[in-house]
Amino acid sequence: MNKKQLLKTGAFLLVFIAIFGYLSGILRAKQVATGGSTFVLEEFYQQEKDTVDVCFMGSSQVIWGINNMKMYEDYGISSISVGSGDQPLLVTYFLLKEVDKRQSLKNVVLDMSMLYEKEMESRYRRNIDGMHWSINKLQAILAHVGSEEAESIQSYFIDWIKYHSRWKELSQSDFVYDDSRSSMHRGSIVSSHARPVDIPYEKFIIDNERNKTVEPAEGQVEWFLKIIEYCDDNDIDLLLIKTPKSNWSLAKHNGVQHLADEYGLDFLDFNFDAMLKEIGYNYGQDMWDQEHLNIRGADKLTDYLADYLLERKEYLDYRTVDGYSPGDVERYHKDYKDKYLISSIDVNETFSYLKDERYDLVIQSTEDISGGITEEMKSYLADMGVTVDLSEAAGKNYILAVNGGQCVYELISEEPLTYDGTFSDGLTYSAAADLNKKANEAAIVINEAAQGFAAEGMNIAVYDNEKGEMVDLLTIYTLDGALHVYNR
Amino acid sequence: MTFISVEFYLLLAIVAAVYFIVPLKFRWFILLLGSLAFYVFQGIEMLPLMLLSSFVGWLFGLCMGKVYERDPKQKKKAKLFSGIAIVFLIGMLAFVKSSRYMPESVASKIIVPIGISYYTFSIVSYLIDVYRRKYQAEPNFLKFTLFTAYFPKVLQGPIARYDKLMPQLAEGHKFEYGRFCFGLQLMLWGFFKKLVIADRLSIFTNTVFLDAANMSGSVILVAAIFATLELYCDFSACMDLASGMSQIFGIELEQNFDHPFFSKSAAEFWRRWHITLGAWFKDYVYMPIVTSPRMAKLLQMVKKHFGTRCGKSVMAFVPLSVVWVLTGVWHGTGRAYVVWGIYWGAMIIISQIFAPEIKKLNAFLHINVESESWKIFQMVRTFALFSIGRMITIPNSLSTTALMFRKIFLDFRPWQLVDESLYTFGLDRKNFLLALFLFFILWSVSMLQEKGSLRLRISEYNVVFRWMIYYIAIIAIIVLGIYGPGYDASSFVYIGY
Repeated sequence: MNKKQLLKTGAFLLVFIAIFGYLSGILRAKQVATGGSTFVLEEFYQQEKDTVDVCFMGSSQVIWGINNMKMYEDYGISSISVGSGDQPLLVTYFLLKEVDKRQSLKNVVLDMSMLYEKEMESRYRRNIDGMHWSINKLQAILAHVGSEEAESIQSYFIDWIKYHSRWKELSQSDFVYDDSRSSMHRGSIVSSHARPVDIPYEKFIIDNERNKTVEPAEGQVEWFLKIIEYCDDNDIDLLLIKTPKSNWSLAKHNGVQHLADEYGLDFLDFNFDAMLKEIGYNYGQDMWDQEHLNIRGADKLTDYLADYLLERKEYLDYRTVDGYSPGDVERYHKDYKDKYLISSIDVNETFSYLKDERYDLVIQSTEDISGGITEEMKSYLADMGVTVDLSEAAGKNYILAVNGGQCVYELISEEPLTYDGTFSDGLTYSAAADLNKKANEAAIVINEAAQGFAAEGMNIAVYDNEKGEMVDLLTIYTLDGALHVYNR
Repeated sequence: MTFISVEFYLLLAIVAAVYFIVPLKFRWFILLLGSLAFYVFQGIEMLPLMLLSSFVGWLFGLCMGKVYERDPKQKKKAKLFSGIAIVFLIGMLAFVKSSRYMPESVASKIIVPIGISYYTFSIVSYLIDVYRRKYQAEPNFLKFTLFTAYFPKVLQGPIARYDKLMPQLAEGHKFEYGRFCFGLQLMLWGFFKKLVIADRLSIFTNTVFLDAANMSGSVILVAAIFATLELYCDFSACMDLASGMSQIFGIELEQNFDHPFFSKSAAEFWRRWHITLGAWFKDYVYMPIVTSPRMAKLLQMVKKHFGTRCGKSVMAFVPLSVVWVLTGVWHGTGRAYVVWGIYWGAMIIISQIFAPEIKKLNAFLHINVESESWKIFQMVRTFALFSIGRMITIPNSLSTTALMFRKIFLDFRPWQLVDESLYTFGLDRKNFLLALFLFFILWSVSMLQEKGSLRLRISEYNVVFRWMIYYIAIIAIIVLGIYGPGYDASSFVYIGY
């Protein structure tokens, strides 16, 4: 091969490597759904060096169950969550090394779910694939690929071996990283929804015969012990926790407690009634499923853990550090408010959130609730410029439109009503109020898509005029003489 | 280790690097080492059997050579040597191929060396050629083993002829950049056909044929068409890979496919499909039968009693029947393969015997046999005939084949061709439509290749356009290929022979 041919070959290969690198990045699966690990890892990598003191690690419980922005705003502690759904402890170990490499951690708080969970290949890939190339990533791959269920080592080093078939699923998020709608802040998510989960955890856990004898999952203990060793060697305090989870058990608790006692670690298990009482847990409001706390539950747990950590160690108050930014605070507050609105089951609380320049509201009647309208509700509506007195609207239909916190339309009538309106950003909608119709027949139609309500009463569509998307569809309804809130 | 494995290309890279470093006269030895290493990776237990075949072929070839050296007229002795060796080799081949009919306790102990059908036929052709004094016997056992086990062709052919391949293997070639690039480009096309087309189609065909009893005739028909193209793409891809990597070493393997679906008759098809197998049967089965004294006697007798036309028919029938039964058996040992061989044999025999009648019929029907439409019809007909043949061999069960044909004629359900049912047999909508688009690509490239070397034409384009074609091909293979976790790294269809 002469020099010219060598140069041509080299140029061809260089261009190919560039194309191939770009293509790999596009094809790699992005975990960008709510709570997605892509956001978690990118948020970690975006943190400035040596600005994080506490890291919450483990599975999805630490993503949904902690509020790191609250940790900063209320307590000045700089913390992040680094984890993913059902994350094996092997991955947690190498991520711990990765985090500590950049952050010089003081504390690691480790949720102990995974000690008893079976490993699955997809759970490894979630966060190993998303790690930036480093010695830790290399070691994580090499440590994992020896196991039976692991995919080939080549597929870890060359993404497209695994992900090339995603060509038919590619979407905008594969090409453009956009975390502006992720609801994730410092690795924890401002989670939506409240699902009444009235499992009396302690009774369930203790009484459940099936969970009497449980062994830690094969392979998990080894990495748990490595985490302990790493923290010990690097002077990092390790705290073990267990957030409320329906498949937890007394046997599992005892197993973790035994290890904690053996290695001199504290273990806080929030599945016991006493602990739930300590954090002010509300069975009807603080979980979004049987495994995860929502934002309300996360706030309570965060308060407890912040106090716990501050009692035992001194931390730099990052609120006093000049030039330090914890992240997009404005976006956090908006997310936070949205999720508190969505998870609210109290009428007065709901109305207190509704008055906001960011929200456009469409209120229509599908059932008479006039008898339950409170003074507080009337006061909130009056603040928005609503002049009609809905407590006097017995047997009448009404439609109210509020744009940017100010009423732009109100009509009350004995006849069924329709109204074609426009949100602040120009998006059109049609509302219909008819006490004789069921909620799903009298939906709000926004941009030709019907948005149905789940119950009859005072239907309120809440639209974010900055993001240009629906926030909530809620109904104030009457039950047993009192008003309740039903969120979609 | 197949042609679609990372380990193979590591081996290829090492062999190529060392090949072009060592002096020319030792380069054949590097190919031998590479071939032996490749064979060991297939399974070290297979190596002694392959070496045994090579040794028998070499030894008896040498014996014949010695016999002819002493007395060129000693054909009887030479025949004995070649006969013993051929019986041994064919016997070994027949034994391993029939192992599936043996009890499990016996069959599980039988080692089936990879490529045995291909290298056995190569060695047999060598023995017969030495017997015929076409060339002299190879004195060097190691070189002969290289001829037997040369790694690009050992898995699936082509069935090499000693006089065409050995000189190239022994010569040692200098590195040539243009040839190297051409070889890589041919391999690129092979990868595309294998990973993007063949393995994609196999998802559909496997799903349908595994549960043929519950499929409609329309779905079975689509699967039969897919199976035909799948086989072509799979087999010809392997040939392209073998030829492409040989070109890197400066070795030209014999062509094994020449766009068979442009054929207008069954006979032409088999001159374009698996060319080296057809040529082997022609040179070592057909011609010996046709030119044998016994055949001449038979011909004379038939002519005498039944006329010249009958004689010509017997001349066609006898050797072609033998060839096609053996071809069927070579492909597989079940009854289905024998029927398949008879199917093709019957078609070719009938078309040969009744050629005058067919011509008269065309004239009677005023068919313009020179028109484009007739040629297209002929190509479609040939494709359909091949697809029917596929339906005989795919299930390897005549009763299942009969069931499939019954379904096509009696339970067609044409609506399943348009009601999106076709997207429920392993290939979703996007993949199915992609498969149809790939047929168009395959056809287009084949049309261009019929007119001349496409690689040569592309090489004349400007560098930007040229590189764009290469990058698109590489990216298409990377993105659209069927491989990786979740996919079985499909072995080539003909690898079991």
